[in-house]
Amino acid sequence: MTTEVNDNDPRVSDAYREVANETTPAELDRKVLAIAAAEVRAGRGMPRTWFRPLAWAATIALSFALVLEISQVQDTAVPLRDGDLAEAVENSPPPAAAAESPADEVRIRQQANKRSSDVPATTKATLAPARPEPAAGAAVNAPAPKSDSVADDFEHADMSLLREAEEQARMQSGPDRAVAAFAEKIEQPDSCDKDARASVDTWYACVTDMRVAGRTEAAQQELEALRAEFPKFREPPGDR
Amino acid sequence: MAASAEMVIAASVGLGTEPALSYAPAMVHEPDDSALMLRYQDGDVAAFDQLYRRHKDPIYRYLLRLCGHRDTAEDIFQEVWGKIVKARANYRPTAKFTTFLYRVAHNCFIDHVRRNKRHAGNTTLEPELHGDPGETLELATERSLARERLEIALQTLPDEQRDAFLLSEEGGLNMDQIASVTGCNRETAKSRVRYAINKLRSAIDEPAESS
Repeated sequence: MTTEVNDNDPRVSDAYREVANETTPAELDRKVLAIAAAEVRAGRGMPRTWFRPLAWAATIALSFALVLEISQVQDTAVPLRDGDLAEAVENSPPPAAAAESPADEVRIRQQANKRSSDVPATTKATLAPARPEPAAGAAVNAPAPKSDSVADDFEHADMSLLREAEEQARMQSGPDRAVAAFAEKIEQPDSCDKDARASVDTWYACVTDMRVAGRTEAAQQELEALRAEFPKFREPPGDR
Repeated sequence: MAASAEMVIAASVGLGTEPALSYAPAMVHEPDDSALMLRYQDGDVAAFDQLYRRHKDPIYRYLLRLCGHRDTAEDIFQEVWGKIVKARANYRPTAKFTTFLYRVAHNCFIDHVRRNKRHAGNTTLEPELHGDPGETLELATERSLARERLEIALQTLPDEQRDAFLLSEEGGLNMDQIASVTGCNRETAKSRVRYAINKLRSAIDEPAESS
């Protein structure tokens, strides 16, 4: 117990050491040690040395995960540009499925037939250069080209319908609206038109298309009308 | 001063009086107070037991000399260790444990003084007579009187000086630590200790001067 001051006069320190020699009573020692042991047994205030760093690490990890999640959500919510919209229209499943299904194919063809009858020859000529453009992709998976020029005109009309619908959809937004506009452009006739009834083959082809499209009742009516117009007509056995 | 300090250090380790091997066991490493407190923080009651036995007598004498009543000193002593026990959860070894312990004891004593203004003046401490069997009756009486005078002089010291002296003697605190515990600056602490030592020296030398 020597200090820098007491070093000057160790007699005071020695005299104090002779006087101050009391010790704690044993009863007091037992009380204090019992309190200390009880505190440990109770487990109160037990923050271990690793508890605080662990809590900080968990907080940082959760915050980082939350920020990462929010940034990913924002990335996916970025609006499409015009080019992306056209690409989405081309790749969107509904029009592709509609064009790939035979019923829609028939619908497109019939609509084209109807319009081509009203379109003048000059207009048909202006539609012709648009044909090589494969912009419509799968949505313009039109029927196989036919050898006659009328069939080509029909396909051109189909293409122009689809492009018109796409343009309208671009003016609006979203691929669903493009599909809706396309559907609005195409009406679904319940009977074969005048051109289809011009010959037996075209009329029966129209009936077959209606059957494939699922309009069996209308197809049956057209078939009866065909038989009435051409009594010698015999339906091929495989088509019945 | 340097020579006396070297003598004290030499005496404390036995240099020049004991063979070299005799003090080798004293060099066995013992965990310091902060390590023991951290072990107790982790639930090691034996560590607290070791820590308590290391400090219990000095802190008891500090409180006993400070308040002058055994019962009061025991109450404050129990309160001090109760606070140490409760402080284990938030204990951080930022300062020396002894400084922390004596600061708690000092504050408990100050709280006791504020609660009971009548602590001073009614000392019940009686000097204990510890005489060697071989010494003569005259010498034993002289030593007993010297102890009694020192005890009386200690009790008549102002509270601040007695506190600073006891922190120095019982706690072994240096001036910076005493200043930290008592809430004063270093020079004030140093002057308090110096005044206390001068008064006690006078009390010890009183018979010689009078004779």
